[in-house]
Amino acid sequence: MEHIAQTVVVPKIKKKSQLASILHRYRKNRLAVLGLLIFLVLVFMAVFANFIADYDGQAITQNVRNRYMAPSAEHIFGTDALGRDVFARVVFGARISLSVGIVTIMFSLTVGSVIGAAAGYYGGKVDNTLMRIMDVFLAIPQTLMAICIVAALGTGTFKMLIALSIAQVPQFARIVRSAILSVKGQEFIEAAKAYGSSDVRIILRHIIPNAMGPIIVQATLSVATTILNITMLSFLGIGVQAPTPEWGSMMSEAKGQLRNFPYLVTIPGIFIALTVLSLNLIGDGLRDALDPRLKN
Amino acid sequence: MSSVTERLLEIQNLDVIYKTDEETVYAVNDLSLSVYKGETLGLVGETGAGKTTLALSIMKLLPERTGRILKGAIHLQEFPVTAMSEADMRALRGEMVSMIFQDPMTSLNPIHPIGMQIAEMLLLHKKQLSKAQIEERVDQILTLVGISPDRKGDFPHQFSGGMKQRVVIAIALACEPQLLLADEPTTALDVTIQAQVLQMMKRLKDDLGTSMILITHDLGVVARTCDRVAIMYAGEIVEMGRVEDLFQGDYHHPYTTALFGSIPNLTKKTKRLQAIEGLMPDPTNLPAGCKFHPRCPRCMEICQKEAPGAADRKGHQVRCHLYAEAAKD
Repeated sequence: MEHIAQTVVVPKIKKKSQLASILHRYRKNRLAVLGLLIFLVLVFMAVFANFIADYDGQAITQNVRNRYMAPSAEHIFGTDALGRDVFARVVFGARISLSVGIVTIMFSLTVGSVIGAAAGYYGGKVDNTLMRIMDVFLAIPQTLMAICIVAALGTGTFKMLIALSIAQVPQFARIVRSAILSVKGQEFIEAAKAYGSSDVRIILRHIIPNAMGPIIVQATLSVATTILNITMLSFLGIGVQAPTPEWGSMMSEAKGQLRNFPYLVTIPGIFIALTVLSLNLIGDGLRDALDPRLKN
Repeated sequence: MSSVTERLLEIQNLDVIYKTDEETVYAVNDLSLSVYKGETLGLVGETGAGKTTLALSIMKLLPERTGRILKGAIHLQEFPVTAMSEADMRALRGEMVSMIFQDPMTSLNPIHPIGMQIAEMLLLHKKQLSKAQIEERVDQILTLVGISPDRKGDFPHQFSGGMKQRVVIAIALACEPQLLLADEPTTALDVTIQAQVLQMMKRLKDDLGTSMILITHDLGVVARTCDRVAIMYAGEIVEMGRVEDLFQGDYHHPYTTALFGSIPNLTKKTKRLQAIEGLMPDPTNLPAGCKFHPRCPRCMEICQKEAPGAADRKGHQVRCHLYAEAAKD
């Protein structure tokens, strides 16, 4: 049997790189591709908002003579109570929602992962101390906590970002910890120790990649929740400040006119729904694509 | 065994316990053992005899909160394992001493290609190697264990059990360690693959000059691959000697005799295999005197009171009062 390697002529099969095979698996999931397309359109909209619409002229300047205009060729989504172009506001609103949503999650995911990883991997006292602190944070409702932090720090987009991030940290810590606990006991972790890997290396290379599925799904879901939270804070007047366009504040401003001018509420609502949906589809697709066991 | 008897591993009077809130498990008791360069030592015993605990003690990988080395010393060449820090130990693991785990199905990380897992071992210990050199070494070691280097990009689930175990062996041998601890490397494999893997391990061991502790409960495997054998019972080595000594003659511990009585013999006509009466003693509450006395067919009065010392006959040690006379010679 020692000669197997020499005698059997293996035809050279072209191996795909890891990234290529992940893309290949992702492409097979039609819905995930759809989600990615929607998301890319939204990102494109946010990045190139300046070229699509006029911020000063249309998004924030009031023009009372043009108020409540129905969708037309000139204002494709109509105008709002102050005569501002809804399309321009939606386009610029994507900037705030997407950037704050994504940055918040990246921040809270990083902090939460470090805390959760330390708690799950070391266990015992470290685990107890860290998780009890997280429990205290979890005990306060996320929204209430965000409000408290904003109240303490003052209003503003950046401060809102910090408030939302802190509010999201505990749930990431919990998810990462439980994912780590389920992987930690496996023999390949012990094997990695036996090769002389350090703790940090074991966590980063062996444990977290194995626990990636639930973390990614939670992260995409949380971007969606965060976008809704921004909406909520803006509605309460402590989030994005008027006249900066933001989907949530657009909805809340128009809520009194739901019966007469339903498009003022539904259009930003559709964009929030599309963003949330696309992120969920992407999360779902990524979970499958990142699992090499589903490779064929 | 080579004629040059340079000592690689020396264990002196090792006691290992597992301590929880409720009880204390005496896993290894006053165990002394040496492994010489290039030899294979078979470690045989029932489940729960402390074989794996011994291996983990050598790696210093006992479960952190419960397992503890109570007394005794382990020396790996000039390194005092028992006294070393965790950081120093990390450098030793994989480089000097490597371990093959029982179940190849679970001891490979499912999400990394196998080539990367072998490379990782080299990245950890051979930092001077360039990327190309590491790749080359990975190819080389895969060929050595009989797997085509073309498959290094494949994931563990794409291999059969026997091939996975070969990958595990490739990882363990990547840095050419001095000592290899093989914890029942063939138990999870079927018999034909067992033979292949054992043959390959033996060949690699000879090529690289590695010493090996082979943990098993299969006496057939021992006879085929080992130079020396140690029989473990309730955390003690009850008998230790060269393979020929163990498999021949009557100078044996009653437990060894009973073990051999419980495996089928091709040359003798036996109606029924002889099982050993009773069970292994409860490790939280070991019997006084000789640990085997409650099950021993040749138990004497002294056995219940006093633990026997090792009686040595030309390097063949037996821990039994039956041979106490020999010890005095």
